[in-house]
Amino acid sequence: MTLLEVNDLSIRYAIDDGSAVHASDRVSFSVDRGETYGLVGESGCGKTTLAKSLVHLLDDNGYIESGNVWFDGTLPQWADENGDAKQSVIDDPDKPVREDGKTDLAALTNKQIRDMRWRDIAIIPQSAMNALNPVYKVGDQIVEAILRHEPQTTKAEAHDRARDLLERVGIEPDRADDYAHQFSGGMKQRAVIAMAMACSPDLLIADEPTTALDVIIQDRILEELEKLQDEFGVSILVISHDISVMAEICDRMAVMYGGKVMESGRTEDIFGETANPYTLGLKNSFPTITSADQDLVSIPGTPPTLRDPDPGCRFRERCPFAIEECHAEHPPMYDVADAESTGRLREATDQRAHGSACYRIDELEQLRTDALNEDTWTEQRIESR
Amino acid sequence: MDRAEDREPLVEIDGLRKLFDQSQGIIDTVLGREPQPVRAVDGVSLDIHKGDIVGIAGESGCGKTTLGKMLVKLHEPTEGAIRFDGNDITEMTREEEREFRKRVQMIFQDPFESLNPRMTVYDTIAEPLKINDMVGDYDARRDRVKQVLEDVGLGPAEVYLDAFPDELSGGERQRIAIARALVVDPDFIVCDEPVSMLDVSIRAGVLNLMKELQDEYDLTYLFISHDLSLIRYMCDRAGIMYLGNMVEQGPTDDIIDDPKHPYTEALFDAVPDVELGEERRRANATGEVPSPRNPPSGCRYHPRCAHIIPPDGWDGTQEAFRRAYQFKLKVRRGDLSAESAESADIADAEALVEHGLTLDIPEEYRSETEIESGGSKVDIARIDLPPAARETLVDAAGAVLDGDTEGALATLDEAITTPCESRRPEPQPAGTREVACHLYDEPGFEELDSSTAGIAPAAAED
Repeated sequence: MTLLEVNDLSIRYAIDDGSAVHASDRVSFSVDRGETYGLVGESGCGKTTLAKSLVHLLDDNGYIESGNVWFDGTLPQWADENGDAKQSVIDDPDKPVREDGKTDLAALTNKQIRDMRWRDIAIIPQSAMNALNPVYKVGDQIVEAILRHEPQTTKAEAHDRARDLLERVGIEPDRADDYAHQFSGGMKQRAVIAMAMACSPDLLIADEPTTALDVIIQDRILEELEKLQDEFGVSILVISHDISVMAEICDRMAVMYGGKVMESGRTEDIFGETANPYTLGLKNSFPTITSADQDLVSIPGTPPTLRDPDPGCRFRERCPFAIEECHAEHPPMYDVADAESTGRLREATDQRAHGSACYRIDELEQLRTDALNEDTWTEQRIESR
Repeated sequence: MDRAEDREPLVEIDGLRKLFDQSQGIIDTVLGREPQPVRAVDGVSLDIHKGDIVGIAGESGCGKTTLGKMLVKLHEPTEGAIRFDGNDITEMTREEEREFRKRVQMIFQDPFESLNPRMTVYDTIAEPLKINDMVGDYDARRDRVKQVLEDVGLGPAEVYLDAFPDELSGGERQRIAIARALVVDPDFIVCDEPVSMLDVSIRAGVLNLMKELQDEYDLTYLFISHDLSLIRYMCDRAGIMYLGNMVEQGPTDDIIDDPKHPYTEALFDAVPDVELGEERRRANATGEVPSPRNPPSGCRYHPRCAHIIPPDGWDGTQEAFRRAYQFKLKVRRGDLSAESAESADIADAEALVEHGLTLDIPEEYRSETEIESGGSKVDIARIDLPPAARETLVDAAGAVLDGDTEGALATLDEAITTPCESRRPEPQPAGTREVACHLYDEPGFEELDSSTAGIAPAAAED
């Protein structure tokens, strides 16, 4: 069942001179209940912006230009005793609630979204190591979150829950009375995860959850996230540039480039049945630990600046497969399976299916073969006009 | 690369130590406290042969950057020797040092920090030439700079000469940093995480460039990285560091395909991999890296080690010993105390032992009872402890419950002993490489060493 449905979401950052950075441009994806969905891409591709915009945490000059963020859950005052949206709210045209009870987070005010953060959607921030307040006891910080979002809880109950949460993520409950500086790096990360789980949210947004950690600790945190998901059935939206980590933990993912989703689908399809020139290039460019004698090939050029970009495909300047069409308009998401079986392009109707934004996926076999050839990427100086 | 022994080493590192912060504040002096320096590099020996790319890998704080900086004389070693081309670099005359600085260069991690924002590309690259009085007149210098720029893939050079760093992308900046190192035509370059700040799609280009330049300029690299897959891609030989020690070194492929040191094994298990996906084995290690200010005795890795060695005469399993040893560590660290037992509702000694024998490791290595209880207890009946050890643990747990931690520790220290704690492992040859781990000690060596070192033999078990 779909928990989060992002439709054509565009986010921009205003610049003083009147132009705007198109950090995310007509992005669509959906996250099911209990699944781990990944947004993967290089720095500046818009993945963090996108995640932050879901819960209105953009910087001051950032704004949602258009699009909807349908979330299966609603404000406490709009909900009936089961937590579903009341019929009267659904019928009210002024309230951004849809037939099926999903609420459009993009249409909520900042004050309204505050009631949904933590309770419905919690965030593990990028620098989780610094996310703890140094002058509060770790346990008290969790208690504070519980009391703010579930005011009917007593203090004693909240304290018990905080200790229980810490224990679940592998920290001795005793340590609830310690301060953050008394925790090691891995423990801080665990504490932040415990904190995010404080009000048992339905969706956990983890922004680069392991980037600052050493590899052995990263390993343990990844296991911890997996266990939490099994235990609570929480959906996790992970954002990371680390392709190997994403390949391991995500059920489905979207590969982003220049504010656009280039390819999306099940993780095994993205890596096994790669269908986009950018993803093909990425796969060529990072080493894996298991294979000896690899030849890495980088993608020529650098990522585009997203300041008032022109309408063509965002990747065309670095793409060895670019054709005339690519300059006119960024390609829509095409259904990969369809293109492969019929050899024709059909726009993807199902967000879950394997899709790729490329005009040439009707010649997929050829693209894949050529992409493996180093000369494809190095020989040509790509026409960038 | 396999016949490294036949060639002259370019750099020989012998028993290198670097301690930071050896001085202390006035309060500590007045109170007569011993200074506790950070032991960043603590006894590292390594040979780097001409034409090799040698990788240094390890987690943050293992001393890999400090090691690299000592090799280019950015830090003076506290102890030990570094010989470059046969000459000790700590005892050079001014003239020798000038020559040395031409032959040895460094590439830093962050190209956004390591380039002066107010210098053009030309100024940046020409500066080493001026400082070293290498190319006299302007035209020759300019030609040299242009040539190096084209060598690092920034051509046509005219486009870049007058650019400032902020006009360049990360990949271009790192190429400028490489050009700056190359312009003096060095023999040896220390690269400290040269691509970690770059995006994946750009990384490969810089790495391949470094490989090409190695042939062209006849270079030797020391390649420092926390990213083990990069080490595999780049390096012929590799050294794995942990808390200032070199725990294993040898040909890269051998180390990765068949790690000998328990730390190396854990480190490589922990790396996620696209091909393995969910099949990957997790790292079997407890806890986190301790502080280099107060590192563990003996083998630095023993408190986290999965293969910690039981004392002679231990007739339980190694796993049981590992658990018993973790019990002792928990008491020592204060994780097991009368208060913690009370808050976990543990009243009797047996229950405390069952709680203390748990291991903080990934689920796939845990016992059934641990999994069921969420890691808070084990079933002591299923753990193959020798009866005497079990008694010791229960006694110690009793003492802990009575608040007598010191008594508990004394009891434990007598029975739960390991050579890993008492003796520092020396690097031993093991197949194609050197491993500093007691598991690879020569038989016979052990007794000899422990008796001469005056270390109490393991308490007899009945």
